[in-house]
Amino acid sequence: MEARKIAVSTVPELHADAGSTIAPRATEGRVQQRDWVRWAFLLPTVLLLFVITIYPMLNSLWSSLHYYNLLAPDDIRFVGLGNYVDLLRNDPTFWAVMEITFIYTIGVVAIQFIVGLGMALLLDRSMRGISLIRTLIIIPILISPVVVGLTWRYMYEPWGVINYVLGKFGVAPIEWVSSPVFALPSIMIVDIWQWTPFVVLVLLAGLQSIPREVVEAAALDGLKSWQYFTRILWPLLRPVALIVLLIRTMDAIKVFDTVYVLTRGGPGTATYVASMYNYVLFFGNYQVGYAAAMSYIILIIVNVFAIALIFALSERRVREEVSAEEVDIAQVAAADPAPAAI
Amino acid sequence: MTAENSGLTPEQRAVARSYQQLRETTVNRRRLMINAGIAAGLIGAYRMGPEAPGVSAAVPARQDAVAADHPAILAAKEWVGAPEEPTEPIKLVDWEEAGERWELPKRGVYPIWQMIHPNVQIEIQATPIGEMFPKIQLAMASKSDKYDVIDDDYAFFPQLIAGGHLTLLQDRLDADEAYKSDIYADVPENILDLYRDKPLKEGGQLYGLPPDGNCQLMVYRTDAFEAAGITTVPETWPEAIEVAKELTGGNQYGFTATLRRGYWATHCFNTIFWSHGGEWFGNGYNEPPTLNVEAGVMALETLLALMPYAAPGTLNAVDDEANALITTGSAVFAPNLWGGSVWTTEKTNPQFYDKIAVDIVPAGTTPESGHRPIMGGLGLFIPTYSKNPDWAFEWIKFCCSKEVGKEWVENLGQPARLSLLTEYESIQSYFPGLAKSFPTAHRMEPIPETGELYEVFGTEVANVTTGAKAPEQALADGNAAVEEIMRKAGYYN
Repeated sequence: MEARKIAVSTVPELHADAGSTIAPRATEGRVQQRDWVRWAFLLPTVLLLFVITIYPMLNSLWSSLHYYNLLAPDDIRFVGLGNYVDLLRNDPTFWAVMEITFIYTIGVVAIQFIVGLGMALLLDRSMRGISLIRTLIIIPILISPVVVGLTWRYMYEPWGVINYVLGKFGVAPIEWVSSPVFALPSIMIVDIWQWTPFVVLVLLAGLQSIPREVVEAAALDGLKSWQYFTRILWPLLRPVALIVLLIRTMDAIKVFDTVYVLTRGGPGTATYVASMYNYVLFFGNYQVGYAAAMSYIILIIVNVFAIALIFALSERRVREEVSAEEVDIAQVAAADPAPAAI
Repeated sequence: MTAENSGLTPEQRAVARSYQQLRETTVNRRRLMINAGIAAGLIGAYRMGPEAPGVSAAVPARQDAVAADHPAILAAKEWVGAPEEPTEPIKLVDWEEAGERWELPKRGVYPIWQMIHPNVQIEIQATPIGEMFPKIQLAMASKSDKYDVIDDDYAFFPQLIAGGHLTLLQDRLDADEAYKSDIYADVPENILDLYRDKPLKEGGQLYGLPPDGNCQLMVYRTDAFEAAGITTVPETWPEAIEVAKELTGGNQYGFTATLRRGYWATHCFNTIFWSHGGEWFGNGYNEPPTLNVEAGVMALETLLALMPYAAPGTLNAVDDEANALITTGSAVFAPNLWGGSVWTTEKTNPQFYDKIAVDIVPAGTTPESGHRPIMGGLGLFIPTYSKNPDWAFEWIKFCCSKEVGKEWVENLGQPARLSLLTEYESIQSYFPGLAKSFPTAHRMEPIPETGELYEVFGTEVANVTTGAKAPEQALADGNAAVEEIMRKAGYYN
């Protein structure tokens, strides 16, 4: 069989807009006037951005470099990086909450991605009622996280519906949120329930943007499912996967509302995540500087995660692995002539 | 495509022009949405503008509801030091924690005040208690003159006094000897000391007055005690453990407490620790803490011994949740719990409100032991920045007077005066428990770092109750963490 060469590109090609008409360049005076007008319209937004974002960030950075107890506002002392050093070297609670946060993040993101990808693959087909299923599936992400937390809290009660159903199968009531063993998994279940549909939506969009010719060509050439997934689908889906993993990882590291509503970080320190500790540092301990330092450490960690993910799943690496020139599907199929299960 | 596009033919330009005219004149959905948005913006701007209606005007009193010979009206005529009645209405702002104990009693007694001082209006602004304390700190740090009277937890008084944010009340109180003698005799000295810059014995002076008092109490179900054959209330912690064991069985549990990690768990620990004679800073604040002692070990071991009898949810409970375990019948005994009317009011405890009994918390078993429940309570102060300190003090005197006690209690107040707690037992059956507990109740440490210390140490207490650490290890780690916080705060090197 003649090997079919097929062009695979991970990036939509940009085409020159040959048909557009470009207004002739205006005179210098009119250009300056337009610039002034543009800046005048941008100014309120820039000012708002400065007031509600940049100034508070600078202020919190300043706070993080000082010993600042809100209950003793006359005793603010410059300590440089002292708060950061104390957190990283002298605060066992910090490392304990980071450990719990990492366990939580890796657990929920991994499960959401695997389950979400599976569901997206199942939904990426034409069949009766598929639109309705796709609509129903996004309901959890439409609900406020606080409402979700409160609802699940009642469901998790010893006399709640979950234990009721388990009881029908002879399982003794489980203390879902008041047991140190079950508390963290209970919160993870809630997060997975709520945000897997988001993963499904994004990955489904990615799947549906894959050119049909690629799919048909792979089917015609008898590619096995696993080969199709690893050599064709995953390389094309990687940029979208990067986006969804990035967003879910950042959200998981910052999780607060679900934990606050369900367990407030307890029982004991079983669900004491980083954002919860940060909240307690300010609203419980009134340690403004220390809390600000922790905020910046979380910010750095989130950025490090994001950069690592981007590096792992970047398009540059995709292009190196899958040449933008061509992929010899027939050669892959020829290596194992079993019919494709697509 | 617009009519100005030079690429169009004259016919096309004419069509484009007509469409443009149609868009500008015809009522369509887009135009309606734009106009609705503009209207909403204008209305919003007007509402927020200088002509905006006033916010939360003072509540006009129902003066017909108060008898002219009400005891408070008669007593106020005898009080000394009141300023002259204003000829024009003036308004004071009283910032309260929302709900019972604080906001509601003030609203309940306000009609009486209006009878006495019709031209002195009080605007009571309420904020949920969870948000209140940091907001008060911020308001005082920014020297806000918006408030004339503020109700704050006693734990924050030391730093507010040190910061110069509070008006001295002692001299004003001294001007009315009769009122002062009465309140000194009726409110225990340890409660008044909460609102002094230092204890009375050391020459302290009052910066606040307490219309409200609180401490942890022992609460139990009388029917459960009867059914278990328990005829005496446990006096000591070992007896409490035995009672908890006897009461546990089936779906009934013999123990609950506020054991959530942080200051909740520390409150629970403190009552037991202090009852065994322990002190956080037995050698003063400029010396390392003294938590890692025998009393600390006994306190944690007591908690551990009670855990097998704990109702589900106790490990992570705050006061609302622990009280819910009592009112739903899951837990029938709590040796030291924050609560009060929630247990004994039919509305909040419909099943068991008439089967609840309250007493003082157990004592320890060492020679230094005693009944030492942790104190709560809020007091009224006048910010330094108030523009009406004289009338603000009159309002505080009024709220703290015993003559408004009935209306105060009927509106869910919890007085600090022993006479009112005794007199109104028929309204709130837990009052005698408070009256018995106040004289020996123990305050939290009067330093700005207390919140942080309790939060950090409470994590170690939670580590013990969840089985993550042994009591000795948790005490050592907690003591070290407390010492480090004090060192960073500059108490010692």
